[in-house]
Amino acid sequence: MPRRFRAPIEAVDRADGVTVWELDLPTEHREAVVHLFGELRQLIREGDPDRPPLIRLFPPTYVDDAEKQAEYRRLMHDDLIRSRIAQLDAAEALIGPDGPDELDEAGVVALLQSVNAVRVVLGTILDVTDDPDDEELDDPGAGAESIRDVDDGLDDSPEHQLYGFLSWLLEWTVRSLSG
Amino acid sequence: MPTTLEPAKVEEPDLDDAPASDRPWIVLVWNDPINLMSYVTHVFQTLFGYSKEKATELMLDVHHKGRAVVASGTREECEMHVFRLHEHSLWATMEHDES
Repeated sequence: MPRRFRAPIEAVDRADGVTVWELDLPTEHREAVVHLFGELRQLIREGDPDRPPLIRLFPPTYVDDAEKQAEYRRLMHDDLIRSRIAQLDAAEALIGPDGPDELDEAGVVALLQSVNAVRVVLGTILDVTDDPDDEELDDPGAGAESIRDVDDGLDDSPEHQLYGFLSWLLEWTVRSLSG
Repeated sequence: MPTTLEPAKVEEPDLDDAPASDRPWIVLVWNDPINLMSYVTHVFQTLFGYSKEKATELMLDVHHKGRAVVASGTREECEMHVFRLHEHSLWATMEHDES
């Protein structure tokens, strides 16, 4: 008999009217996510924000105005780094092997942002160039030429499987917040 | 020596010729091949309070047209919008509204 499918994260309305989010991820998956959060934290602290893959997390705000861009960066860049690190720290504490079984909404948002940030960086490293959402929108007849022959998240390399796992976790996290 | 101030001629500003710094700003979100449609829609709803329908419409504009204007306002307001979009790893920029 097949094992009943369970969502990795799910919003539950408690008897007292409070909504909580239940995580149902095996320990090895939690450890993998925590490991990725640690790698991203190190990359943010030590990497070059003007080069791939980090530039995707720190894109320019003023594309055609170097002076305004320099001023914006001087005022905001450190705040953005601090915000990202804070979200990673919060998400790691929640999803780690010692984390709680129930999350509040702020915790889920930290998880959402951090999983997405890792996914964006990994997708940039893997040079993902096709939108996975396009698969059902594109002409199936053209799909073999335009989608399947390049990185599309369906490659069976470990890195692509990891990317697919993050997509799956992110999709369920969004769904759990959307009610 | 005049005992009263003569009225000075006041130049009325020509609104069609307002300096660039006075024109409103717009926030743009650009398409990328990584962020999920559902995630982008969710972020638009959360950050700007848009309905599911409006957020989906903007997300589809980003997806199909390459970019969409998601907010407008003063420079400070738009900078804060861009900051929050960057926190969510969306590719956002801002510029003067030329429309």
